[in-house]
Amino acid sequence: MLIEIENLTKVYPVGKEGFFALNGLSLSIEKGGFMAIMGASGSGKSTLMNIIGCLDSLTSGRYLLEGEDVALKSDLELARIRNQRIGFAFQSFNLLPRATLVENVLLPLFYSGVPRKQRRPRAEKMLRRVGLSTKLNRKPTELSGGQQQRVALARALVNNPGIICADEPTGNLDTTTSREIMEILDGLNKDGTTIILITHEREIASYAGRIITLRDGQIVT
Amino acid sequence: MLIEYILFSLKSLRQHKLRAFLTVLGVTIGVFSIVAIITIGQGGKELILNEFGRGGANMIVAHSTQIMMESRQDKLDYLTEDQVQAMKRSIPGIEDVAPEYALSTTMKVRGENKLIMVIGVPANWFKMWKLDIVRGRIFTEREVKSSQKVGIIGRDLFNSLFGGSKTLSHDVEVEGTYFRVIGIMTYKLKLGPFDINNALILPSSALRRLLGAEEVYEVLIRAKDGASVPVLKERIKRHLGKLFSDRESWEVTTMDEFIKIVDNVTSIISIVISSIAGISLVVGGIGIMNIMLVSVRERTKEVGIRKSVGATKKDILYQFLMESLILCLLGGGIGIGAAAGLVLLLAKIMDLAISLSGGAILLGFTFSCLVGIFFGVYPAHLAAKLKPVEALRYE
Repeated sequence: MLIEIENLTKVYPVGKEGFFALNGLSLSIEKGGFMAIMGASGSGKSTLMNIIGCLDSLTSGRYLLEGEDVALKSDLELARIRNQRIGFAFQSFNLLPRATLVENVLLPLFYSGVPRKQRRPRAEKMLRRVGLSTKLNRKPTELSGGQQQRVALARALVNNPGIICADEPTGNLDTTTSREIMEILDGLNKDGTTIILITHEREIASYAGRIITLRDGQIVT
Repeated sequence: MLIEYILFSLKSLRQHKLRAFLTVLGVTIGVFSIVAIITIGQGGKELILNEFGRGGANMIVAHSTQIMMESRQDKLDYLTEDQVQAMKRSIPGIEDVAPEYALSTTMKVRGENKLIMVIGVPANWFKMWKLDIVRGRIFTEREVKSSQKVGIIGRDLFNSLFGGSKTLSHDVEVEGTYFRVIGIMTYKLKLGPFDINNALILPSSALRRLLGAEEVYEVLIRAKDGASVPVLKERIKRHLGKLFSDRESWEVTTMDEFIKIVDNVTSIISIVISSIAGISLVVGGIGIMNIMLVSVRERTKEVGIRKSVGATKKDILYQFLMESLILCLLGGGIGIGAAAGLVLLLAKIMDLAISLSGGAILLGFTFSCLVGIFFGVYPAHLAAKLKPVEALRYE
């Protein structure tokens, strides 16, 4: 199993009792899977994805990533995991606005210590793969939403991670562009990348082989 | 990696040029003060020591304190020529003595009456107090013996009297007597009213005759080679003490003591200005810290993005630390540049041989680095410890 989650809770310190964003959730995802997480806002889907993506810590329970207990990892090891093994795509793209596309895409390579000379060609290659070969030195703000999301995907993919976490990647895009992004994700999944996708659109979720729905921090279907 | 951090920092600093400039102003002023004061202090001290030390370490000056204090006593304790010579004979260890006579007189300079210092010295005086003779010569033993009416004139006085004339053949009137100029002298130090560049030096015999008196208020004394200068100083003091009822009326100072006084004065000035510089560095540092805190807050999202693609705490720490370091180095660089400008200007205006030393530049950069790191660590630490998910959510 790639991801095994047992009895996971995440409690935010709100009020006396605290707010249970995730409440005893168990889940496993196999390598090469494509899973969509659906649910109303506040259902805990983003919290779940942030924990899977090692961006957030869990309160109790167990999360094994390729058999390793993530709770036992140091900050440095978690940074390594985010750098090497997981790529992210967010609804708001999260690109550095003042950096060029190439600079944005080569960021993970920089943090993984890839030699300077190799970074640019690899970033450019990745941008070409998502169809942005002519805009290498543009700034993200000069691009359309769909193009920005493609840059974000190029950045997510540049270190060849096994997992892509996409948190409503099409949330800010129109139907046509959404479909383009989903085609890219689908293609990646066919090449063996595990995809975990948050969405609240049925049509988008239908790309996934497996759909789970969250409510109040638990899986309902 | 380092180059990238530097580029990152420069890029983000470029976003807020004015802000960056204003922020570093405190550091600039601090570094400017430190570098300037060290250079000017060092240069000035060297100059003073150089000029004072020309006579050599075996020089002793005995002078009346009353004349320095402008005492209102009717009769000051003075030495006569004979007493000076007698002192030379009776105290072992004295190689040579040169009594000085002095007269303040007014001269018409460019239509204005100006107070001019006239000093009468024997020929051997020039061996003890080495003046720079710009043109002409000093007087000979014979000219002194025969009370020749010749004189060596200060460069500035010569220029204001004779307007940069090419020839020396001019006469200067002192109290109704004309003296022929045979040399022009200069001396870099201007010690208050006692400005050699505006003085006139005459043979002691000639001035004595002009004064109609032989009152000596200052004697240059040279110790024999190998004689202990402090011991000799004590002997002279005792000798003079026996001559005058007031034991304090004459003072004896060795060159070493002069140098120590100069040293002390320059040290005190350095300490005072350095503390001011230190305060402005601290204030500048606080400014840097303030702006870095703002920067960390503004760029929380950026930190989140960087962390989500694998930046470690250290990566973020270095990034922000580098930014404050570069900020301070820029500020320090401007400060050093300004100090170099000031020093260059001073050197030109005051005709001083001072220049920025490598040590002063290094010190300026060291202080900049220290301020940048010291005041940058806390904001950088705050940025580094941001939780990725919280930083990403920040708008």
